[in-house]
Amino acid sequence: MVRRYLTTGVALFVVVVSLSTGPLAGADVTNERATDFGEGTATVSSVDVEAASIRVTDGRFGTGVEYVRPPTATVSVESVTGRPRLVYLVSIPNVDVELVETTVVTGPGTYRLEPEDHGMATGTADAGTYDGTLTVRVQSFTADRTVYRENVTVEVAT
Amino acid sequence: MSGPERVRRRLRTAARWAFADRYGLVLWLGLLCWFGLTWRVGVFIQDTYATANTLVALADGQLHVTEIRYSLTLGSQPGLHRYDGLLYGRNYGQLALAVPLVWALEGVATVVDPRLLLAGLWAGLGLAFVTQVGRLDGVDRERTVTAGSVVVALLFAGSVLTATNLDPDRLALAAYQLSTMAAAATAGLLLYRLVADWHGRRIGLAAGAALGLATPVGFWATIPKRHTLVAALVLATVYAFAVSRRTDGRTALRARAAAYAFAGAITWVHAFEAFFVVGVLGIVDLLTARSNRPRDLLVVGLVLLLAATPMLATNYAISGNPAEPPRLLPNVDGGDVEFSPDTDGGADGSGGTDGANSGTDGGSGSTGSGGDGTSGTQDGESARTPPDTDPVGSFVESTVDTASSTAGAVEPIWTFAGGAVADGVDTLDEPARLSHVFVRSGHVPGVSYRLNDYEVIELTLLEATPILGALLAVPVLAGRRLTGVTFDSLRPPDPRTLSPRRQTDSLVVALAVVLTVVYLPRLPLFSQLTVRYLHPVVPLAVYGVCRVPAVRTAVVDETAWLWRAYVGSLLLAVTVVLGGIVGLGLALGEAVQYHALWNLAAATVCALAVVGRTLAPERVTTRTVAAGLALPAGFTTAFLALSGLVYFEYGTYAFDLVRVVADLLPTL
Repeated sequence: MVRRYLTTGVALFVVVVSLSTGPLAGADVTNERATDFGEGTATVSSVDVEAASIRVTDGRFGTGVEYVRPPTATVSVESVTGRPRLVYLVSIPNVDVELVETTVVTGPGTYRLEPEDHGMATGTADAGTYDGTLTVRVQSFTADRTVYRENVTVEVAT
Repeated sequence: MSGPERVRRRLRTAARWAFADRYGLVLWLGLLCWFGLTWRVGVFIQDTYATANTLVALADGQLHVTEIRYSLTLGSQPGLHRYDGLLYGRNYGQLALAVPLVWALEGVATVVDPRLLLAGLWAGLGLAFVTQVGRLDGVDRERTVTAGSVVVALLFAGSVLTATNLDPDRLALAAYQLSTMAAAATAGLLLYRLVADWHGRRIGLAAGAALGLATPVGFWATIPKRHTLVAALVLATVYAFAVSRRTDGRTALRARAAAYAFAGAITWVHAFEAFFVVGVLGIVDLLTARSNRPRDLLVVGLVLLLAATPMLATNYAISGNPAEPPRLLPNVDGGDVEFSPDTDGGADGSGGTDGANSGTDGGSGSTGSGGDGTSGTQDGESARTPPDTDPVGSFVESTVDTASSTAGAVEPIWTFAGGAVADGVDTLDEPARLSHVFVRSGHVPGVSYRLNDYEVIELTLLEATPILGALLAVPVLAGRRLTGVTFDSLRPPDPRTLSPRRQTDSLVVALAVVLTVVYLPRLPLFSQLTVRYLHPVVPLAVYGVCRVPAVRTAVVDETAWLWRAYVGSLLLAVTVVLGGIVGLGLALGEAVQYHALWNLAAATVCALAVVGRTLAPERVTTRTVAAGLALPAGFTTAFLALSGLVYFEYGTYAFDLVRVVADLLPTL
């Protein structure tokens, strides 16, 4: 008998919660999406990037392409107002590569920005090295501040 | 009998008709809950934009697109067709299925927040699932329902607490995806019924569950492409055919007519594929039927006509020509661009109008020009780019041109169908190409990876469905049968005297062969992911696996062991793959190919176990076979789950709780 009440109870719970948070009842419980940013700014205390590790290598497991392997940026945020975001840019103009990784910051802490490896046709990077730039910015509707910028040499190890 | 009692009885009869028994219902609900887990409300393949916008129009009572509710960029809407100044989508049969769901979701959304509506729906399905599981024989009812209800309540509460905004205008898209999920779950149910009818409930359930958990059917369930629906309808055709063969009298005739009805219904989804399904069904049915009396033929003929009526009516309403599906109408600028240009089947004839389809270069062993044709569309040149003038391409072109301009476009379709089969057969002597479609992908020469940012994510049929390794036992079985008979009895038997099972097997083999061969000239191709053009073949192949005696003994005699081995295999798979992502720093293409290699290894183990057992039953135990089946199944489930949680990002998770979990997993 317990289970019957339990099932009915859960079903009622679902219905009551759904209706009471609906457009008619007006109690909206949904949050902004994690990727939506707004106004505000953040104070960054340190940016840690293993800049020298960036390179172009061959894809493995039969992929037959080559990849730009960007380094991870670890950003320590001291304080935040509003809902700004961190933007991490990896740019290698001579092979037409511009990788962007963003994350919205909602509070102090450490944020890791890991851009995905970028695939290219084999032979795209035919020079031994390329010049690249790594940039980290704090961005919001009202502000855009560069907090880290480094020129790097991208080694082609294919 | 009181009123409520009568209603309950009617409901029970309807449920029995649809699900066969409680196990069928549990399977169907369970598959839906599983698909929901990695469901993202969003567009995975770009040509969904056009069909989703058409669905919005259709739900509003219009065939032509009235509002561009979904779009990535302005002007880019591959898959729209123009007639008389109006824009039309395609696959209307699939859209029609989703229309009631659009109405339902949008209706309820007036009182429930869209996000909570989805969460509530999932909770409702979960509750129904645990309640039904609790009623199965041999299950501790009290404990199952108590634990299940608590889990559902927690999942729902978690989803509410983490809920994010969902724009109400996404609901039509969500309904569209729900309709595909329902079709995928129904495919599992149909396979259960088909296999259970021949070999009992256990193997039937294993087959149905495997279809959703261990084949690409799980991959495409939440992606509203036609492939899932066509796969389900093909399976429904086979099931009805099987029923018609194992029953007598009116039931048999009704089932036979139903087979034609299902096959005929495919015309409304994709006329090209339907043409071959109806054709194969017709041939096998007429050859094997106990009776082809005029009355019987009249019945099936009328039913087929009736089933094709919605397609004919839609075509007539759009272009005034019942034989001209929207796919044959001129493409709108933007053509078949993008991540996944849908260079869909031949008689759909897009070959005449979009560059992408010119890639049917039958002889060269690649579909490079298919890719190139499309890449031209990237920079706005669009589908006006004339197709390459390779012989097949121009053949397609001329055929389709004729089709477009002739009022009664029936004759060119015949010519085209013959051509498609002939081209397909021609590709059979290209081992490298076949291997790139069926066995090992890797970097396939000629495939344009540029459109997928050079991520080599196209798997072969075996890499995507390694459990099909068990099919290697089929030649062994066939060989044994041939060597065991005298020369005299080698004469082909009268198909009419074959047992119902053999007749059904014949239909399955014929459908699988034809539906494969007609697409071979286009494969390998980019944005297929799991060779989606061959999707309808997957359930048929799983049926084939279940027909191997060694598989059946293992599943039936060692069910508990199979289940444990499956869980072990899944854990192993998740560990090695997540370990690979973290330890080796895999990129997307690498991760997918890493899966492919593991899956091929698992397929090999599976094949060895099943063939070993078939050849030497005294040396290979049923447990080994069960483990051999569980291994590829677990690895495929891991691929499906990680595809949903890690590899392919788009849209928003239907249930935010899943998003929270996905955020905790390592990224590529």
